[in-house]
Amino acid sequence: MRTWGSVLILVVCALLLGGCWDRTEINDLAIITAAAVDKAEESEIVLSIQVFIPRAVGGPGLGGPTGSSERALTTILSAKGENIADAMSKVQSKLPRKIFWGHCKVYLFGEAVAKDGIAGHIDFLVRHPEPRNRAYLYVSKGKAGEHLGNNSLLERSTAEALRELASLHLGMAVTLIDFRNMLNGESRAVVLPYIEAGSKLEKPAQIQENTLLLGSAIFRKDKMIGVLSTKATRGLLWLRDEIIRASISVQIPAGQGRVSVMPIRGKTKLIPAIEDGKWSILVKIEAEGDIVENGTKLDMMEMSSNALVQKAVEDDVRSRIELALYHLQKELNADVTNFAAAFHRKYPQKWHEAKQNWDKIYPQIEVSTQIHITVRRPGLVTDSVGHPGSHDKRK
Amino acid sequence: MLETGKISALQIGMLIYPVVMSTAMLSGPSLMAQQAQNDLWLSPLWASLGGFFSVWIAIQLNKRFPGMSIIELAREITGKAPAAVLGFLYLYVLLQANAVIVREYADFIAYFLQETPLVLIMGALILVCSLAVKGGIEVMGRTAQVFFPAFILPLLMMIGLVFPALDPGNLLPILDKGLLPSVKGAYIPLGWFSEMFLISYLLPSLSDRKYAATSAFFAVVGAMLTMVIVNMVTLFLMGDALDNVLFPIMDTARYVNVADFFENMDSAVMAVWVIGVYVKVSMFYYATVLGTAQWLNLTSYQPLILPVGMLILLFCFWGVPSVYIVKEAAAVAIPALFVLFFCFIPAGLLLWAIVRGKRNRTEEAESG
Repeated sequence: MRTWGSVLILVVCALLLGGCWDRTEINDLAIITAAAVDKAEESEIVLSIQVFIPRAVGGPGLGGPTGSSERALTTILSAKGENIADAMSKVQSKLPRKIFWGHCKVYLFGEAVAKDGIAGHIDFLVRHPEPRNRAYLYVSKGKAGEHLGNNSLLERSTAEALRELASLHLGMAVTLIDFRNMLNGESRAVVLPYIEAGSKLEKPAQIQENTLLLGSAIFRKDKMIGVLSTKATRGLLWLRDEIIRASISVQIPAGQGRVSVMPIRGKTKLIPAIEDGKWSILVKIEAEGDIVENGTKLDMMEMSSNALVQKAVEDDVRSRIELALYHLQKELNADVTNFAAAFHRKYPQKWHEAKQNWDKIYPQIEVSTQIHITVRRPGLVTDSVGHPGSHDKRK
Repeated sequence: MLETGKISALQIGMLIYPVVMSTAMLSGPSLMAQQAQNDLWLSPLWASLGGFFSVWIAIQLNKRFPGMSIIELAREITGKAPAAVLGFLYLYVLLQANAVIVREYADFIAYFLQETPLVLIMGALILVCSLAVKGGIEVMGRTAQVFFPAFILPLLMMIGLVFPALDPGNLLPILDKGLLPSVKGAYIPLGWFSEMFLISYLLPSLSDRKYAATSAFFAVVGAMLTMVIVNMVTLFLMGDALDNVLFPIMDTARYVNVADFFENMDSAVMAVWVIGVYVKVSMFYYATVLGTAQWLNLTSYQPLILPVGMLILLFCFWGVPSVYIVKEAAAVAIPALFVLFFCFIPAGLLLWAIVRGKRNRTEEAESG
């Protein structure tokens, strides 16, 4: 009798697990995979969402594989509104299912809306319990909504493609939570990855030709003020101590050719100093890399050529950093490298006095670099395959 | 004695640790960050002094009056009439505090169960707790012991998983504006640590009394360390944005992402929070019910369980109309009330007892 009693209790408890009033059936949800915000007339915005079509996934079944690949996996809906919440309720009226943000991994902002400020939109995403903290943010040239309708060559949708792109660490990868933290940080400057206009990436041929990632969009507070090129963005990534998975190619005059090095790991330290009222920062980089291509006549196993390569890579990294800083300090005056926090941490007293004038101090900060790149391994061959035995001393 | 069950010293520690931590788990880091900014990891250190103090007072009172809770021993010390007034105030504070805790819980759950009526969320919790209280102290002690690993492990796992994303640099500069902000930040957790005085209701049922102090001491130290670690982890992850985030630990759990596959751990944090709140609400519930029975000189506390549960449910609505009032109460009134009722008044009673040389001789002869 007792056992049956406990079984009964368990069954009743299991029934309650459905969630009573808040039970949600998955076939009552419209799952958003990406959302884009663009500027409309006056103060209005256009919210476009990419909605997943569940029917299309089931596979071709017995009907054969032909034709099924033509079916779109996602559809696009958009509506105008005063802000995201307003536009969303208008989009909702076009859909028979409840909009669900929990699987939205990518948010795109059009350039125009980014220039007007996106704090309000970010607030919606951070305040609403559904959107994920780890969703990636992008700023798109032109209209962001155009991206959503595009097909991706490899992935299921552009949303998935953009998410994978972020995890490759070729440029900036900024999540919602990173954006919020940067906006609340000391320097109140934000950087987001900047991508090509969607209209230029519509057809497979265009995707093959054009690069998606154009660099990074620089924000002061929540308003976009400028763009950094891909080259300068790499410099910024070094300064921000973020991982870069892109090879560095340098010219080696002594070997009459180019060598490419892939950075494996690196550590950047910002060491601030204030002397006689002069603010300066020492950027200290320690990094390691492997040689991935050798177009020179040098043997990469030789100590001397290793030193040449290291020196050349160090110079290259330095020039990228200087390029990034030139744009950031002199042109945009946006402290996305977060020098402010470095000074605050080391000189709390002086920081509180100077905080108000940070806009004037930041462009004047003298930056010196101390870069040390170690080339660990030469790859699988010694000298270039194009110049076999060029180092041979028996000759 | 009304309570005949016995619990071990270890169980006392496991009952009292979630009492402090379950509230701190919800908004602790951001509440402390609002005052202390990046020195918030120091605040639990100051606040834990309140915990040590209230636990020490409870143990000292228990030594003088073994087998008596604060309601009974107040009668021994001050006489009948003042003790009746004091007892009423105690019960009222316990009841109202419990209502605020239940309401806080329900409002948090309501973020996710938006359409479920609050009364159902609260009613379900109170019903479960009433079953635990009906089972008596032994049941509460054992459930606390069973749930303890479930309370700790997800938290540790979460910290382990976000570890690579942490930036210890956010800790600097230490003591940017001196010690004062971190002391101010200790005000709210001071209230939570004072709640540890509730062991006063557990000590009479303790089977191995010589370990009482050790167990309570470890519970305070454990709660303090957990708070310091949790504060640091959330600060390292969010930096200056921390004071703006309502539920930092849930936010941290949402950040977890291992191989694009193991993510969305916030449900685990909610489960932890439910376990902690269950222990906490049962403790307050038990103290209210037992105290009322002692206050009214009843022979059993069982008939009071359901009526008191009903009262808690009503107080959830009467006293706290919205989440904003909960915030106001939790930030200002409740810490002050708890420090007064769980630190200063018991300390006053102890002082009075020492001055008047009062102690409960009969009970001591029995146990000694």
